[in-house]
Amino acid sequence: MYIQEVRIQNFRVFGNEGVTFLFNKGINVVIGENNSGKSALIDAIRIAFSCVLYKKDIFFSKTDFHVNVAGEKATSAQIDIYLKDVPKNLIEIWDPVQTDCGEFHVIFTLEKTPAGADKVKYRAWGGKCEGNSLSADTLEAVNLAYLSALRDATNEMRPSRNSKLAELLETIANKPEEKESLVEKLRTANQEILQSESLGKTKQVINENLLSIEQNLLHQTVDLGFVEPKFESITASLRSWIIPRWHFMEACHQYYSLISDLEHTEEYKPFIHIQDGGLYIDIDALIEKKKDLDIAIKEALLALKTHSFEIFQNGLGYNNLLFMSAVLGDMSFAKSGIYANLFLVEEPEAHLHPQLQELILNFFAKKVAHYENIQVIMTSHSPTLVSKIGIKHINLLYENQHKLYNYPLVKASLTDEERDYLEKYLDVTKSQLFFAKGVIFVEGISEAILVPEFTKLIDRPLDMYAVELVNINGVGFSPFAKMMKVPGQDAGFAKASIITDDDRCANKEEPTYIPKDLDFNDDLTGITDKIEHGTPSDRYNSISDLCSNNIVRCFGSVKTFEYALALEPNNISYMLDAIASAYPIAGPKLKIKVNETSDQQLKALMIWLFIRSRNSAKAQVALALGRALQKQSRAIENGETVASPFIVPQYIKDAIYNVTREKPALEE
Amino acid sequence: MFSFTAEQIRFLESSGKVVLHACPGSGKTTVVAQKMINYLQNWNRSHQGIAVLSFTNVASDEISRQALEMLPKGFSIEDPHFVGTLDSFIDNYIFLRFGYLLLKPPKRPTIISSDIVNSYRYWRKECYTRCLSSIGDFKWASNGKLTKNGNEITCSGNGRYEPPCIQFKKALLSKGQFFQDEVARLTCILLEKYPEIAKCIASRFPVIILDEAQDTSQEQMKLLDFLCAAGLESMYIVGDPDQSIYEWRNANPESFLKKMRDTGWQQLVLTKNFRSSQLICNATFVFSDIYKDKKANEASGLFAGYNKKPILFLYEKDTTESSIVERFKEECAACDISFSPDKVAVVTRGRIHSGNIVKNLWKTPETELLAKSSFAWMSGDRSKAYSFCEKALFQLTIKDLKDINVSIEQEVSKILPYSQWKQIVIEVLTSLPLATEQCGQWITNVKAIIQETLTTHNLTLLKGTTVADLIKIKTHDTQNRNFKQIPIKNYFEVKTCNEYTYSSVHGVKGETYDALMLLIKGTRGNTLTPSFLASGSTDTELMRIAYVAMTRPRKLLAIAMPKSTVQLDIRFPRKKWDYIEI
Repeated sequence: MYIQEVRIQNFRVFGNEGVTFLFNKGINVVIGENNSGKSALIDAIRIAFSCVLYKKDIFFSKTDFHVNVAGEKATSAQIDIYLKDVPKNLIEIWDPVQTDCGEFHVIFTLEKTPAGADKVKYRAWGGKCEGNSLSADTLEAVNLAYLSALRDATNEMRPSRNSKLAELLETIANKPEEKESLVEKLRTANQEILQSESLGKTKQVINENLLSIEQNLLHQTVDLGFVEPKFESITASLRSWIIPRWHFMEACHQYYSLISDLEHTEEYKPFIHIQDGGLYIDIDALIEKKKDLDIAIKEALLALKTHSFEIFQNGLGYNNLLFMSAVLGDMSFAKSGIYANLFLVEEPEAHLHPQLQELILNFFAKKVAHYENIQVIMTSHSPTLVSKIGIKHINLLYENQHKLYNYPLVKASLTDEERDYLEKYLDVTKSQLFFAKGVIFVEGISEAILVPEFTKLIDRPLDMYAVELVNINGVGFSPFAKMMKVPGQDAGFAKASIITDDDRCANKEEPTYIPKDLDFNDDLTGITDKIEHGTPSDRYNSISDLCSNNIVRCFGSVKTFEYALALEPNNISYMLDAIASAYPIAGPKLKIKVNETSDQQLKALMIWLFIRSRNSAKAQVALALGRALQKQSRAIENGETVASPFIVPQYIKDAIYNVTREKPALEE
Repeated sequence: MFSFTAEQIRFLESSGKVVLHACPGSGKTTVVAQKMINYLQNWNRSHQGIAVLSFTNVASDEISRQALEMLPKGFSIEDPHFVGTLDSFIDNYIFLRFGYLLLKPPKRPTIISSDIVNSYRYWRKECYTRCLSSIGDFKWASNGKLTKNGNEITCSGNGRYEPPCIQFKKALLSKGQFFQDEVARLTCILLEKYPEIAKCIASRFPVIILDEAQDTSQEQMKLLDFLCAAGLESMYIVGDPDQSIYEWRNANPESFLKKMRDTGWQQLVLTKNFRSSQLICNATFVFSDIYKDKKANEASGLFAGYNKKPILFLYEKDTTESSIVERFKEECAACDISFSPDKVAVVTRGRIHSGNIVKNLWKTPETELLAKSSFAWMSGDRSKAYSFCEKALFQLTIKDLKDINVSIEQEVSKILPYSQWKQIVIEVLTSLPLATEQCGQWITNVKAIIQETLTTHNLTLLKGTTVADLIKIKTHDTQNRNFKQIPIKNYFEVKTCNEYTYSSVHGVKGETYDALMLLIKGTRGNTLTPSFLASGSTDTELMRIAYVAMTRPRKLLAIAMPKSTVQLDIRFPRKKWDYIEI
């Protein structure tokens, strides 16, 4: 069984319109900016699943009712949980029509007591009709574990009756015989300890004193031991510690030379590191590898493994891993009456470096793939996690016009191929787009280098507007455009601009075709006419049509990016200089040729043709131009006037304005 | 621990589809409780349980009580298991939960009691005189037509409106309100339409034990058959068709008899009577439809050999009831049976006070409601008493309850805070005269109380008339001139336990006494009479009522009937009965 859908209304940030989340079997992530409701969602799930339980670790409080923009507090909040793969035995939530589904609901209301005080009441029911019962037995069929954002994994792993280790041992040693055998071992151990003179003496002293106080009235004696021989005491005192892999052997050790000799062999070298004054040895691995090791040497080596780290000596990150593995370990065991294991984790990335984040995600994925009944719902700010998890598994919370929305990405109108393409394409950097307010998609490296500089020139620095620039290295914009468009919503999670070339004159079938091998110093008669009369490519038209909505808009250049840049008279010299720095021989030739004509279109044509034929140094040209633009931005920043400054083409300005904010009136 | 008979062990070890025919006193409840315990103690499935169902709350409480006695201390019978009535099982697990699927727009059905909405004023005069008995008799057929006692309603209404019965039932339907006796049939429709629900119940309750199965209606049995077909692991149907005496509640022994003939079910019997003496068994088996052509049940209990023949008292027309009881008391004394309510019972066919009441006493519904309230309060049923009293006050002062859209709490809140209203109701309730009060005095007191309440709380009568117009009883009765001296409890009481238990036969079902006397009052008509007992068909509810009464005592059975010319020898041979004339 797993959660398929959660609907929340009037709870904390979620308003009267309600917000719906869709979840998959297995692993899920909820992303969104701070205060967008991620923790509220997790808490809503916890509240719903414990609403009729006797033992609760979370309560719905008076302050949990949503307060709207007008400052009015809602008097009723509702959480609806829809489940899938529901066994028939859970008759209270089971749906007789869609027979693998089930649902339950809880409404909290704010009431006044006769004395006038506020009081929260709730009504919970299973199935479609209010009034039908929902019992603790039903909700107890879901085993819920929760790791909070402000967590103290160190504390969670400390020995205690409720520690995760205790729970795990409880699950594994579930037979009375097993418990008894553990207790028996401890009893024996305690007895042996008491044989020791010092402990025996200690016990004697205590009992003698006790006797003198009690005056033979109570006849009680104490027993000493490290843990009381009871199963509950064993689980409560269970602790884990970390054994380091490498151990140090001082140079004065009797087997130093023997082991250091082994270091010279190819076979054992990986397990022995020579350092000043001794050796670092991976003792377990070495013993495993060298089976013929003398018993005495083996024991001497094992004797080196004396130190270990207590949990509180571990880093936070490691303790989080320990906690998560204990929880998922416990969930991997089938338990009678448990049909679903739900692990709610806030920001699993906390305290973990990016590679470990990826590992933990793989670990989750492996667990949920192997154990049908485990579902993980996590919140995250980590592009690393998001880039690896798969689009279908993402719920994206966002605010638009002061309203909160959720976008389950499984709803994006994408074909399977498009989704595969995106998932392959969404690396860590590109996954930042899910956390941005605006996104600019570009075709290639030149735009990726120059557009950020343009934004500074027009005083719209990307970071100030939380805009992410995504270079898709090609023209496969449509899956991105489709993903950005939230189905059934006018408000997307971010505005997006696509900056692309209109690629006119590239169709051989049309009279305006410009041959592929044409260079700047060829005969260019009539070519500028072709550009003027050419029509944008079908590819451009289709993406442009796709973007006719409020969320994603397409901004096309006449012909290409470089051509469009060069159409601005001011820009010619900047571009020629940049080209010259990348092409010290051909560059100056181009410069002469360009300066020979006064036709601006012809100049632009030559520059474009030059770059088209010499694609390899495109990035270098862009970098050189970028440096010049940086200088210009700095000068402007310093209040200097720049003579004939670089002009950002209008379509690019529009694209930037589209994702930053409404175009300022002065620019009109 | 008990030692079980071979017959009982066969049942305890059986599984699958089992029918158990258990004769009176055969330890049926004990084996049912034991069967349940056997399941409970080895139960290791979660969210699945066993259901032990009976016809009445009294019967299922008795099963729980016996089971808890046998179970180790601290053991309780709770979720996932269910012990209760078949009705509440169907209501809670199927109808109320999934009934929304039958309603448009879907809503959770509610079950209302038919006497509460059976308002006096809803109907037209002609309905009242020609047709109406109880609104509970009107039911929707599966074709969507309204029927009364199985016959389609043919009244045309008045042209513009449909007949009141149809209007009324439609109004109930639109509110999703149903009567309990409609539920089984609607649930069958539901299970037919949604077979997955039957599978769900069969999986949730893989084992069902149905006790008192002779009282199962055909619709309820059909519903249980759905569950069987949907994969129930075991179903045990336990009962005795000779003891089916609830036809007025749709009970019908035919469905159990059908199961007894069904070769698809394992047929088991309990024939040994652990309650009565062999002499009682020998005298009573001729009244059993099943055993009359066989032989008497073998008495096997502690009192099997008790040597006292049943007594047939034949009394004169003018003999008073109390002198008959006095004579019976002497016989009890002779048998060394102490005359106390737990040992001795006198039972009658109908209401115990039927001879001492008058017809149509209540002249307004409010009066009857207040009388019911008075009686419920005396019997300790406070919530019922409150509800009756509240309805009466509401009808008097706020709104007529014939409109089923009225919610008392909502209407009251429009006028005064509900908590304040509650105080007023409780005030009236606690000052009502006792139900032992003679009705003449009772009505005088009630009128004064209502008048005082109206004045104190500044309430006005709805109809603007006087209290005396709305709280009134009959003023004279030709048959019984002194009827105003009859206490009002006589109109409601079904059982008294003073010197001895005095009850209707229904009130002692399942009980055991040392001595019991069945008091036959009538000589003609469709009731227990000497001629009916002497020659009436055993395949009738009336005879089953007599049989249930006769199989209650351990030591002494007596029947008192008016002397007549009826030939008694065949059913009451002097070899088996001692004739005593009073």
